[in-house]
Amino acid sequence: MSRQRMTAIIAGAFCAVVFAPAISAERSLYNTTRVLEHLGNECGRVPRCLAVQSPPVILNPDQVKVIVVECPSSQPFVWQWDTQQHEHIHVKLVARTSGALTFSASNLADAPGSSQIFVGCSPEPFKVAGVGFMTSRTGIPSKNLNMGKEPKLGSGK
Amino acid sequence: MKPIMRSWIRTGVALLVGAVCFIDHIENTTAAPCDGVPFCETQQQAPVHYGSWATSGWAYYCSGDHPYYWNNGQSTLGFGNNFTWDNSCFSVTENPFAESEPSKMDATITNWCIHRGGEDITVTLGCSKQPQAGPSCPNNNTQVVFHDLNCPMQGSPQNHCAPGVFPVCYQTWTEQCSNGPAYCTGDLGAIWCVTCSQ
Repeated sequence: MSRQRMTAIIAGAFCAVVFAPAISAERSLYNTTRVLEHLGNECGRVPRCLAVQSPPVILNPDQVKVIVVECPSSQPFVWQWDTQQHEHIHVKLVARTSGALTFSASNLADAPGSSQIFVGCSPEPFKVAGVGFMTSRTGIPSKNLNMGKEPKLGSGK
Repeated sequence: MKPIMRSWIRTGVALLVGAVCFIDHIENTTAAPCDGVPFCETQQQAPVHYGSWATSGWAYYCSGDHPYYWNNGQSTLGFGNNFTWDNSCFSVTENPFAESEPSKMDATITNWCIHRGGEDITVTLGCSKQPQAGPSCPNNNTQVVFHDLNCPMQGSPQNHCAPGVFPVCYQTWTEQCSNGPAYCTGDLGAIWCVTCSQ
């Protein structure tokens, strides 16, 4: 085994020992009142974009919900997406068709939280080249940080 | 000295040594996009806006006449060394096990800065004409031929389509030529094959 690989394994083992208690306590490290803003990324570089939003979804601790957001017939092709959500909610893109996105939203903390999803719809088919797409969104636990005042969920951008 | 104190000191020293070794390991393997990747060009992706202290997964794709993304996991460079980004507020961690298509780069991107307005990030990929799977030639002596070599085909052609449509759909196939296998790509009417030099 090479020296580099050995040192990486040893360092990884140290990290595992040191950070294991922090990871197990992560649930309590979330600031369950902080909201990640809606940034409008669902319409970034989307031709003739129409933003379609889901209703806000409430999630209780450990709850997981599936959310489907479809584009209307006038702009039938789905491109990008964005959210407005609490820090402790994890939203993951689980499937995409040409006209709809399916998400799972899960609550990672011990307090209720919300998520609202925005998708960008276009009359032109999605082109992934040069733009890619988001596959998940969540917050970093920030209970011990001073993040300033954040917007209320549902206020939009 | 109390045993518990000795234990803490030993742990601290071990952590320090481990961290130094780990940083040394990272520095030894850091590379720029396209380093060690044949027939490669950089492809800059569109900027994305992030809020403070937030993280997201992102899938990017190589496209055009350089449709292959190499994650460098099979080389001495290692994972995470065929892309770059332009904003030091971010960490970008590659997820090689999610790179299920030959064009795909998958990453977890985190904005660690706390600015009210958020931050933008632009990711740049190293993209190749040659599939990562081959060919493996003596002295890396590969060449690109811009036509079908018409050698006997091995197996069946495969279609690769990223989400969405044109221009990230292409076909690949392998031919067995006298100087070894040729890895061919058909993309928007253009055909090229990568093979070992004669």
